[in-house]
Order: sequence, then structure tokens, then C-alpha cells
Amino acid sequence: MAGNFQQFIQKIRDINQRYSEPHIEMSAAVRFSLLALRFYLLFLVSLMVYKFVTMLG
Amino acid sequence: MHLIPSLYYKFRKFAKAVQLYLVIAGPGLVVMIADNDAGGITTYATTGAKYGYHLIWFLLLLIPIAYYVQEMTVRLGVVTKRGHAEAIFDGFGAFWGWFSLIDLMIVDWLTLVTEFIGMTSALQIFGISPWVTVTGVVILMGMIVINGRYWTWEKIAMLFCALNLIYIPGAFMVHPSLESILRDGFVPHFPGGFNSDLFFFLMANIGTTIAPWMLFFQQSSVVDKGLQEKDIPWGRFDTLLGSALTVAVAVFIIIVTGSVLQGVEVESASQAAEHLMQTNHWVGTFMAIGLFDAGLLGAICISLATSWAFGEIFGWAHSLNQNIKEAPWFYASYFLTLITAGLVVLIPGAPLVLITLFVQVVAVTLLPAALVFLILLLNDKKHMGDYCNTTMENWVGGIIVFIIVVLSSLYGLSVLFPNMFQ
Repeated sequence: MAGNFQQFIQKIRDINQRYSEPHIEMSAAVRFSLLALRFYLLFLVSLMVYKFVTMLG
Repeated sequence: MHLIPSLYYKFRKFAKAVQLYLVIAGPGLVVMIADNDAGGITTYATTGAKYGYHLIWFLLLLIPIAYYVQEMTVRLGVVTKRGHAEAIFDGFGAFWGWFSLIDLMIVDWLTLVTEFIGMTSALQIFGISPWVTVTGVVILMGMIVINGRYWTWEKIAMLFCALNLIYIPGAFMVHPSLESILRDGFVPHFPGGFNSDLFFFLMANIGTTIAPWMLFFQQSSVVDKGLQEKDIPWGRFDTLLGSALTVAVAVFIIIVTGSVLQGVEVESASQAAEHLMQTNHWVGTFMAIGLFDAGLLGAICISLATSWAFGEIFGWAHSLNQNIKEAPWFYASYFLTLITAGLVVLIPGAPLVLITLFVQVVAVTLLPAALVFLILLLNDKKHMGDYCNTTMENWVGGIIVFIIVVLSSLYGLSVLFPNMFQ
């Protein structure tokens, strides 16, 4: 069981290593899109957390 | 004098084209018709009951929207020979890759639960218990994939797609007024003015037409089928035909509920089927069978989308052309997703309504990201070469993606905060 878990962690490390660098050309448009996406997702997650907290309250 | 040979030549050319299409047909048709899943059928049935034929024009607008988005997955899959999950990992790195993969897994699993809700409620109308439905569906879906051939799976899936057309005879059986359909349905307008209720329905219809799993599914399906660059025109036609068929089915559902149930409070497709049975037994029966079929088709595609995505990233064998011994993890994740989602529906008192609402909210976090990645990947000259998006395609695709992102986000927000748009 522990061995399987170790193997799984190693697999994740390999994947992170293999895809450590983006292979798409990082033009200004791509950078801007990814930045906008980060802000958009942060906004959404904040709203969800807010909803969750108000529901609990 | 040369008329007959010329006609014969044209006929032979046409027959060859049809034969070629039949070989390539599949991914576009299956993904598009499966898009009319249990949630989709409920959306269309309630739209018809609330607004009659008045929103048919809006659904027709969704044909090019669905086509433009899904066509990009065909090109990306054919040229890169990678599924969407792998393309995101490779293109944007591990952070965005894991975000997409984990989000896809959650959205797919939750959507799968809603498919089981649809299937069990449809068969409950005929007195079949949820236990029997869930067990039967898991066995049936196991039998469909277990033969180890993509071709067989695809043809069986297409049979279920054909059953999805059951709403078309149903619509003729309610004897709708053609004049009313043309007058009310084909002239763009907002019935009762543009208000929050209408806005919610428009967003729900868009939300059900483009779902995140569809991007992942069609791209992986194109790769598993082994389509080549020369097949792209037929892949496009397949996608266009699928888009037209999926909207046609939606329109016929609206005609059924708009003709018989307009003004009746309907909350789900199974409830619509029960109401319809009181006026026309067969039309109600068709609605229930169609709902079951829609849930089954959705389940078939969604569980595969997740398994393909995990297989691509973890490097497991992940083709339907491989049997269980050759691709054990691929089939394990397929059955794990399927069985756990089915079991949730069987838990007494499970929060099924909450799950249904939660799907729409979580999907909003994945859809914009997947669409933005799609457009960016289609502009990557290094990998796409001659199949890169043209300026025109970028404009059209960009505008469509922008509209979908804004509307689906508003839809998600309206689910989170129901009083927001009052």
C-alpha cells in the first residue's frame, strides 16, 4: 500500500517535471490571456468562498 | 446523349462521398447529440413549457456557436494527436494542466450524477426501481466498452444517438400549429420583454449547449479514432451535422412541451413526461424514453472524457482499441467514475438538487479556462502549422468564446445568488 502511494507520488513528480515549462510561444497576448484568466478564477473562487461562508453563517 | 453517363458519374461520386463520410462520422455526431443529456432535456422541456415556441429562434443561433467551438477541437486533435488535457499540460505547463484535469474530474463526476438522476427518474415512470436502473446501466456501459474496439463502441453510441431523435415523431403526434411555430418561433423577439426570468432561461440554454466535457471528449475521440489531416473537412461536416441535429432535437422538445404544457409549472423532464402522459400516453412515453437515452448517452461520453484525460497525463494505455488487460487503469477509472456516481443517486436523502446546482457553478470555473486554452492553442503556429486559426476564425471564435464566458459566468452567479438579477 505504502509502496503504491510512493509510486503514485513519483508519477506526479515525473508529470510535473515533464510539463515544468510551457511549450506554447509566450507572446504578449498569451501572457495577458493567462493573467486575465487567473484574475477571473480568483474572483469566482472568492465569490464561492463568500457564498459558502454566508451559508454557514 | 451524355446525360445518363454524366448522372451516373455524379451518383457514383456522391455515393463514394457518403461511404467515406460514414467511415469518418462519429466524434462530432456523438458529442453533439450527447450534449442533449438529461440536464439539456430538462432545460428544453422547461423552456417550452414556460415560453412556448417563442425561443426557437434563439436555439437556432446556437448551431454556429456549437460548431465553431467544437470544430477547433477536431483540428487540434488531428494535428497534434493529443487530447485536450495533454495539450493544456504541454502548452501551458503543469499548473494549468492540473487545474484543468482536477476541475474536469469534479465537473464530469457531478454531471454524471445528474445523468443518473435523469435516467432513474425516467425509468421510475415505468415502475423500474433506481437500483435496477443503476445496475443495468453500469452493466450495459461495461458491455459497450469492454469489447476492445473503438469502432464498435462508436457504432453502439450512434445507435443511442438515433434513439435521441424520438422527440421528432413525438412532436408530430401533438399536432402543433405550423403557422404558430413559424410566427412565434422564427422571428427573433423576447417574449414578455427582457427580464430576469428570460435571461436565466437564455443562459441555461447556452450553458447546456457548450459544456466543458465536450471539448475534452471530442478531441480525445478524434485522436483515438485516428483521424488524419486529410479527414478534417469530413470531421468538420460531422461536427456541423451534429450541431444541427442537436438543436433540431431541442427544437422538437420545445414544440412538444410548448404545444401541450405551455403555462404548466414544469421543473424537470421526468415531470414533463408525467404531465404529457395524462394528455397523450405515447408522447409522454417518448419523452421518458428520450430522457433515459439522453442520460445514458451523456454518461457514456462523460465517463470516457475523464478516463481519456487521465490516461493521457499519467501515460496509461488509454484507447478503446485496447482491452482491459492492455489498458487496466483506463477501464478502472471509467468504472470507478461510473459506479460511484450511480451509487450517490441510490443514497437515501442525498442532496441531489444541490448537486445539480453545484454542477453549473463548478462548470463555470472550467469552461472559460478550457475555451481560452483552445483559442490560444489554435494560434500556436509551431504545433498547428497550416491549421492555425485564420484572423477571421480568431474573430468569430473569440467573439463566441467571449459571449459564452460572460453568459455562463452570469448563469453560474445567478445559481449562486438567485436574487442577483431580480
